[in-house]
Amino acid sequence: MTAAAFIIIAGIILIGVIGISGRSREKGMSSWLVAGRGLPRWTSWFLQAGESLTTFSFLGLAGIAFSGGVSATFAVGYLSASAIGLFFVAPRLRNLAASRNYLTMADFFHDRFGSRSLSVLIAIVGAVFLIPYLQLQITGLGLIVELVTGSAGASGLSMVLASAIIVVFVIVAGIRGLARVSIFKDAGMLVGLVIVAVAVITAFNGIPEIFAEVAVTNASMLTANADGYGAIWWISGVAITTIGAAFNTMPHLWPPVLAAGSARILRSNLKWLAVYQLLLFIPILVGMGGLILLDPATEGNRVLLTVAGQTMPSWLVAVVAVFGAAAAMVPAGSIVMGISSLVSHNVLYKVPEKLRFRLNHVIIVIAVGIALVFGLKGADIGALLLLTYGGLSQLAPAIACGLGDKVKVSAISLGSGIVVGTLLVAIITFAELPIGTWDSGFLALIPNLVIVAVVEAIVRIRRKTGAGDTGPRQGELEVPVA
Amino acid sequence: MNEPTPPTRTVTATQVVVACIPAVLITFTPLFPFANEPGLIFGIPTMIVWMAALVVAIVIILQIIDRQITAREDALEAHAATATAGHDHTEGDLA
Repeated sequence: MTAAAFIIIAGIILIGVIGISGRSREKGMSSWLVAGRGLPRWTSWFLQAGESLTTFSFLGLAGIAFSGGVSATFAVGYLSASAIGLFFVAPRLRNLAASRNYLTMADFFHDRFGSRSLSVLIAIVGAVFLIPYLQLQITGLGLIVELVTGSAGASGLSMVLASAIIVVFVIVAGIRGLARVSIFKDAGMLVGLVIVAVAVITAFNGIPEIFAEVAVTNASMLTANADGYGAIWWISGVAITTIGAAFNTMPHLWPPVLAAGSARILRSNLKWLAVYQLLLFIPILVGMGGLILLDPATEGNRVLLTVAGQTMPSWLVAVVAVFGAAAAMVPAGSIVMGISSLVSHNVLYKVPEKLRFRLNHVIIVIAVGIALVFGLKGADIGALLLLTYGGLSQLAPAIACGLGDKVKVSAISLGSGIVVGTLLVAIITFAELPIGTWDSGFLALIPNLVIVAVVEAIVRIRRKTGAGDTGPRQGELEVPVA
Repeated sequence: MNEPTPPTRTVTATQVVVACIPAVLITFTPLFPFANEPGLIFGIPTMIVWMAALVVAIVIILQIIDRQITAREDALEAHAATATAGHDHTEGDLA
C-alpha cells in the first residue's frame, strides 16, 4: 500500500470514528432523524451549509470550468439564489413540522393534503431519485482515491470501506453524528480547497495571470457562451435547480431543516448561506488553471486532482483527498437517512413503530449496498446529478401549494403532475431524447404544471356538479403563516 | 387611546419580491452584455465579479429582511404577552 493510500484509508476510518464518538446509540426515529428538533445554530449551520460542498463541487465543478470556463459560476448562482427561497420556505416548513410532528417530507404531504396516497407517492419518488445521488457520492469517493493513488484496487477498497463506515455511523449516531462529521468535512474542505488554490496560484504567480493566459488562448472561456453551454443551458439549469432547492425538494435536506431549534436559527443561518458559495470559486479557478496546464483531452472529473498532483507533493494531495472523501461521505450519510426514513416511515407506515425503526436500519444497508454495487461499475457524475435534481424538482409545485394557511389544490392534481413530470425526466434522460442544452427538469416542469391545472379544473367541476367525491376536502387544516 | 395594530404576518410580499431580484438577475445573467463579456476587472473575469457582487447583494438584502421579520415577530410576541397579562389582570379583578 502506498503512503497516499494509507493516508486516505486512515482518514476515512477517522471520519467514521468522529461520526460515532460521544454518543450512545440512537434508539428512536425522532431523536435519530431530527434530534428532538433542538439543534443549536452552529450545528444547524454545518448541516445545511455542508450540502453545497459535495463531490460535485470537489470534482464536477472544476471539470465544468475546464470545459466551459466561467459557465461553471452557474453553481455559485443557483446555490446563492436558492438560499433566498429557503430563507422564506425553510422556517415555514420547520414551524409546520414542529406543530404537526413531521419527521419527513412525505409527512408534510400526508398532513397538508390529507392524502396517504400522495404521501406514499412522494416517499417512493424521493427514495428512487435519491439512489443515483447516493451512488454519485460513492463513485466520486472512489474516483478521488483512484486519482490520488493511481490504483483501481485501492479505489474499490475505499468505496467498500467508506460505504460500511457510512452505514455504521448513520445507524448508530443519526443526525447528530452526521453533524459532527459535517463540521470536520467543512473545515477540511476549506483547508483543502485553500491548499489547492495556493498551489495553483503559486504555479501561475498570481490569480490575474491565470485569467490573462486564458484570455489569450481561449477568450470564449471567459463568457457563458462556450460550446455546449450557452444561455439556454444556463437559464433553464439555474431556474429549475433554484426552484427545486428553494422549495427544499430534496428529501434528505428535510431533517436538517426540521431539526433546527427554531425558525430564527434557520433564518439567521440562511441569510449568510450565499457567502459560503464564494468557496466554489476555488474549484472554478483550478479548472480554468487546468485549461493552461492540462491536456485538453483530460476528463472533466479528473481536472482538480490532476492539477493538484502537478502543483503539490503527493502526501499533501492525499490529505486533500481525505477531505474530498469526507465531502462524499457526509452527503451520502444524509442521503441514506433520507431514503431509509421515507421508506420505513412513510411507505411501510402500517408496520408497528418499533419494528419500523429496525427496518429503517435494514433499508440503510440495502440502499448503500445498491449504490455501492452500481458505484463499483462506474457512472457519469454529471448525468446522475441532473437526473436527481431534475426529477425531484417536480415536487416544487406541490410543496409550494402546501405552504399557505389553507391548502387550495387537491392531492390528485398535484400527484398527477408529479407522476408526469418525473416520468418525463426519466424518459428524457434514459432515452437520451435530443433536447439540446435545455435542462430536462425545466422542460418536464411545464407539462407537470399543465397537468396540475387540467386535473384541478376537472376536480373542481366535478365538485361543483356533485358528480364525484374526491375524498375529504383538502386544505381544511389551517396553520397560521409564520 | 388607539393602540397601534400589531402586524398579523411577519413576511410581506414586498420583502419576497425584493429578495427575488438578485435571483432573477442570476438566472438571466447570460443575456446581460455587461456581465457576459470576455473582459477582466482587476484581472478577474467580468462574469465572476458579477456573480460575487450578486452574492454580496443577496447577503445584504437578507440581513435587512431578517431584521424586519425579527422586529415583527417581537412585536407580535409583545402584543400577545400584553393581551395575556391584561386578560389575567381582568380575571384577577373579577375574582
